[in-house]
Amino acid sequence: MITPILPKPIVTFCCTLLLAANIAVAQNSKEPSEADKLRYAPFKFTEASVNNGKQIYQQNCQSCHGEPGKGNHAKLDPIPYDPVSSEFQSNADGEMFWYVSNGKGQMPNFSSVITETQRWEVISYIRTFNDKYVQIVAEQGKDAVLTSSIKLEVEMNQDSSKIIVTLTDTLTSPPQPVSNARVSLWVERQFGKLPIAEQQTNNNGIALFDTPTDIPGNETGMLTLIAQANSQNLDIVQKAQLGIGTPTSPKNLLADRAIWAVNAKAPIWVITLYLTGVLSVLLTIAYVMLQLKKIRDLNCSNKSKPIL
Amino acid sequence: MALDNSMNKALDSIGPKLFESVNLNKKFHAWMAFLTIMLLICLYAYYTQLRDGLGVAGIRDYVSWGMYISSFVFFVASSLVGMLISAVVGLSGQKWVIPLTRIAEIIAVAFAAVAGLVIVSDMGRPDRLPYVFMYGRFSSPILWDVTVVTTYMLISLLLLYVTLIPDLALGEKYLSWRPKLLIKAYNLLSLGWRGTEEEQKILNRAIKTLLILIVPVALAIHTVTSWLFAVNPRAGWDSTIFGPYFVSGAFVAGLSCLFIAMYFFLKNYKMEEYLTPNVFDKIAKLMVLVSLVYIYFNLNEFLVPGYKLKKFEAVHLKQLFVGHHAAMFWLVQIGGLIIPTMLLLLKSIRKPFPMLLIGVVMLLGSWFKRYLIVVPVQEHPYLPIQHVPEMFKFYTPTLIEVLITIGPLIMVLMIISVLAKLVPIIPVWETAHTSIDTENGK
Ligand code: HEC
Repeated sequence: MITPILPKPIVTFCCTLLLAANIAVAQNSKEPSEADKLRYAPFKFTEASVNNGKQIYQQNCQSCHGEPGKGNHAKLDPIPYDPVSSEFQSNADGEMFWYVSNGKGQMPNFSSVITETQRWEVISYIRTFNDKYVQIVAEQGKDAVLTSSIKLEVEMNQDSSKIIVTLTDTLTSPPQPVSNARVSLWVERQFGKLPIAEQQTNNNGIALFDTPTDIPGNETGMLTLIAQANSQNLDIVQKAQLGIGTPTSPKNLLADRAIWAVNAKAPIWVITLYLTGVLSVLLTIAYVMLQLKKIRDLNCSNKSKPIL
Repeated sequence: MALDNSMNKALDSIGPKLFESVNLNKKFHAWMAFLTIMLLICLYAYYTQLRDGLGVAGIRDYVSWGMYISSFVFFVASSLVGMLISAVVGLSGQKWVIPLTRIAEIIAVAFAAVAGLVIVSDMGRPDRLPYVFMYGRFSSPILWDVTVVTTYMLISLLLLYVTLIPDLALGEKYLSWRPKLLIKAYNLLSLGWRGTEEEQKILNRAIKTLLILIVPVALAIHTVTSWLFAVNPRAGWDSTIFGPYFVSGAFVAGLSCLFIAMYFFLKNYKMEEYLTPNVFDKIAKLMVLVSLVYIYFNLNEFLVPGYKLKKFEAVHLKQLFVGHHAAMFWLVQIGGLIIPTMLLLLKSIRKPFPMLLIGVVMLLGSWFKRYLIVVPVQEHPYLPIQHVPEMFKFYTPTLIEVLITIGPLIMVLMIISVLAKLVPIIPVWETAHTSIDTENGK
């Protein structure tokens, strides 16, 4: 016979503890590479960028990091430092940019929430709390400076395996390719944009992306792609409809009878059960009332002295 | 007729005594004045909630069902005692239960009548209550609950009334010393009852019908109340045995109310002749039975998920077994259920006073058990709690909330007190009738 070594309650108890420990959040554990840390903003921080950054900070960061200098950050573990603190400021620009883009610990990534330009702007705001900070701007000519005359085109190569995004400056004639511009590719979804990848344009002004193959599109497999090139105060955006999605025909969840639908579309069995239940109870009550009426009628017609 | 003579004699021997309590004495006025003042305080608390919103209570976005809903479940539970005593025990031909039927029905009517109000106290916009009827959906357990609670309350009231009809006819005879108005009301409501065989046959048919009808409806009210929780996929509510688990718990809650009421009527109404040691003994044994059933369901409800410890279930159970709610959980399960049940196995405990104490303990246990069913589950939503102030994460009732919760309890006491003063609390006619039947060896 097998004898249990431990009484069940103790085993149960230990399992509870083990499981609870297990649940305690698996999180982002990636860290920025050296190259990431050496990345710099493609533009000089200005009063305008700081003002934009302040707004972005208040909308997206303040709920956790608190109002700068007040130390009223959210009680998370590890704590989200106050941006004024030396711990926060000791990060290089590129490091901060990386953390905001990829997340850290319990901090979510903001890559689909705020654009790259906005990420640099919020860093420009955070740096105003550091007197010793001297900005290094990304080497001129390395990252392109965009102007409103630049045109962005999205198309596919012959076998649809690549998506080609071309940047050309239309002010010059003939139009010149724009190299070294960062282009990000997104897919439009019902709620917001889904990030696909980021690339630098080559000498021909072309950024090449692998075609994603597993994204649900509409009935015919069409997807709306969004290509975006960012620089200070200027985002150039181009949308394109491409047939690269998996065809899906979304079903209207309110089309058929369903438990969550209004009465007219409630399942027949629910309506039947409810109405039969209510009706049979009411009928029984009516039957009882009828008996009471009988007693009263008996005594109205017969006014003789009570037998009691 | 010989029967009529003996019936008259039987009635005369118990009637004057049993109708004595239909009398508003000084004690009653003082008691009602006390309850009224308490109720006014609670109503003031409710007024602040109406004025300032539900924020005056401790319920927040995550734990949005707090004491109010716990109390609602408790009210519905306690009202089941009417069905248990009159229908389940009564229909099985147990004569000892006759002196308890009216008390149980009065308790049932009081709790069922006020249960609806408890729900209203949980509404931020009580003016939207009619929407339940205007836009209610057949698929919604809320609509089912509103339907069955009102129906049950109607049937309980009807049952209380129908069983009263012969006693109402006796008012003229035994209440001649009371105000004319009361006697008029008695006469009107008695439908001119004279006690002929034919009348008795019809009345019995009506009572039988009601007693059978009330069984499924009573089961339905507490089963549907349990479905308000069990149709959710949330860990702790996602259970297939919630219906019977709630119903068996309801019997425990209802019987503990009955224990307390029995002691009160025994001492204040001097009912030794009717609430005999035998009645106490029997009802205590009934309590042991329903408690054991309830313990059995508890075992199923906690041991099975506790054995599997599925991911989210584990978080919830840990809070109950060893965490934030552990003290209350074990106190309720052991102190409020297991120990009292074991004590009731002793003959020396199945006496009025010890049973009063046990009734109070089990009643408290029942209330807090509802709290443990309702509140802790909401502290562990499937989506993580983020970006909220600390006070959103754990539920702490406020004083105003406590007062608003006590209010309906006071109303229940008031309804019971008034009804117990308007009608004889022991069925007079039925008692006389049964005594003759036993004499005749039926
Ligand atoms: C959900 C709360 C939350 C939000 C919102 C949030 N952060 Fe964080 N952030 C954290 C936490 C927690 C850490 C610390 C993580 C760790 O060390 O594991 C952190 C760390 C950081 C760091 C790294 C600092 C260091 O050295 O630890 C930076 C930079 C940062 N956040 C910037 C931002 C910016 C900019 C925003 C707004 C766009 C933002 N955060 C929004 C919670 C948040």
